[in-house]
Amino acid sequence: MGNDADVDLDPRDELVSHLGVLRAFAISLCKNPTLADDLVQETVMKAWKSIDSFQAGTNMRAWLFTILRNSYYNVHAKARREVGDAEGVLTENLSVKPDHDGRLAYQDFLDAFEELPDEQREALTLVGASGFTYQEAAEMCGVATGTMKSRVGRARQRLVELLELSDDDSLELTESGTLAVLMSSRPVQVG
Amino acid sequence: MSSKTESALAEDRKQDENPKSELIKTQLQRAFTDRASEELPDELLTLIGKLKEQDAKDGK
Repeated sequence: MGNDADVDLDPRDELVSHLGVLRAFAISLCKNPTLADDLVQETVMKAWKSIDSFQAGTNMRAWLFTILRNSYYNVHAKARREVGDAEGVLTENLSVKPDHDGRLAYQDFLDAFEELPDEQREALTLVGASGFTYQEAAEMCGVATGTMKSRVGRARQRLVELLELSDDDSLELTESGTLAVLMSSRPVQVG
Repeated sequence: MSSKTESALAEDRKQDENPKSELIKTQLQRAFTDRASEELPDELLTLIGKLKEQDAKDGK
């Protein structure tokens, strides 16, 4: 994601340009917008403090995401464990059934996504949503590429189970948001 | 590129391109894009402003 144009951009300005996606990543980890905003602020302060050591032209998004996820696991995930994970135990076997007609409703997907363990949500967000390669995501998380692939595979499989997806499932194309994403990516079969 | 790498990449593509994975990926991207497009909180914008002010004072 680093390119020649980024070399001329002040790193501080480039940092600001990544705040939206950084916040989106934080929300996927924290599952709570308020906690996510705190995490982003913490990340921004850490990154800003060491911005002079950032090498222009390299992948700032990956750098920022790495700072954020390390902060999350060092502080926030520990706090959640100390409070107790009763909710996780209770929802371990939760199945999020689609609303009707076997069509995947967007909210059903969001609910199921939140049921995934932290590492699986992180893996899917990095590889599936943020566009990092398996190798890039693995480096950011400090694991082997094979481990990252396994996490993504398990996350997908768990979502399939939670959502009870079948090969016949389709997207609700009446949802303009989903349609917009589809139109920007690939042709889609209606019906 | 070795044949082992080629087959590994092909396996990755196969996993990525099956209909269920595509469905999940599309919804995932939508959720991420929606969140990334939200207005940034005032506190964050204020923080950026303060950091820039401090840099200006420090001559950066």
